[in-house]
Amino acid sequence: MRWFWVDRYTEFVSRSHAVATKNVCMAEPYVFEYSRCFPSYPPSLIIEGMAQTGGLLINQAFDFKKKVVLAKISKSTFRDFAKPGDQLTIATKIENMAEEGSVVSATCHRGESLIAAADVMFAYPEQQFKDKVFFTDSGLISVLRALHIFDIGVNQDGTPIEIPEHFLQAEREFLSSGSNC
Amino acid sequence: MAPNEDEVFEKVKDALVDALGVDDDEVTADATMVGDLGAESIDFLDIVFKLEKSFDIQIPRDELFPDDILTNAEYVQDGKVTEAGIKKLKERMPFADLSKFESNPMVQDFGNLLTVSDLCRYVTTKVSA
Repeated sequence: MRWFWVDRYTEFVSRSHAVATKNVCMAEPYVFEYSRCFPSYPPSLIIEGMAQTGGLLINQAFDFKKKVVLAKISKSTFRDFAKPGDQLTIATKIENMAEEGSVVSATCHRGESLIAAADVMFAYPEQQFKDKVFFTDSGLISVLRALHIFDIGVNQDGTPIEIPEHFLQAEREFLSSGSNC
Repeated sequence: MAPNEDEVFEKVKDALVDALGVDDDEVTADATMVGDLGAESIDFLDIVFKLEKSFDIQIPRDELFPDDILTNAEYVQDGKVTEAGIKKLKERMPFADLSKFESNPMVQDFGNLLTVSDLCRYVTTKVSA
């Protein structure tokens, strides 16, 4: 994963909902360049943030073994611009989850103020991408740790979510190989 | 109490407008899901989710989209659905009018078969069950 559209998760309840924050920074090239006269965070990247927040929530429900991709935005509304210095709170809730795909509802707030809302649909195109590796286990676990998912993630009964064994194994192999984090 | 025909149509229309981004007046009883309303494969799952929520029903995927029949060599030969396949489709989809499809049952045309009224009939069977 080369691009990060959220900075960290603050709430993560398996198979239910997740909340993440995104700090909008003038140093991000797309904030300044999106509109030179009016620096702001591109709305499409807010959608990406919603997809990332909800996508990892869905992916965790499948033990991070499915290829979860953003398939469709059924509807979206934008009420305001996100500007440099804003801290965005992106909240996602699972509305439907099935073997073929999932839908999360998502909102983006600045403080109490609603910036955007959307329904985000995910598909799991296993067949189309059967030969494609989206993420290595060692790469994905490092992203999940950086986003604090395993620090704050809980199951619906309040117990901490566990790091899947295949991630721990990949992490051990990565570290024992002498590679630099 | 089960919704009447008009209520079913209105709710199905709302689901299609939401899922496909079409205008209200485009959703007519005869409109085909793919040809007229532009539904793509991912949209069908979206529509199923919305109908399940709106009508509080469960929709087994193979009832509306019988991919298992259409990809089964027993029922498809040279890209055409066989007589046995048509029989199977009729059993699976009693709510759909297969008469036009039967005259030249190319698998590739099946996606354009389902109309809004087929969908309404299907939902009615589920809410009445």
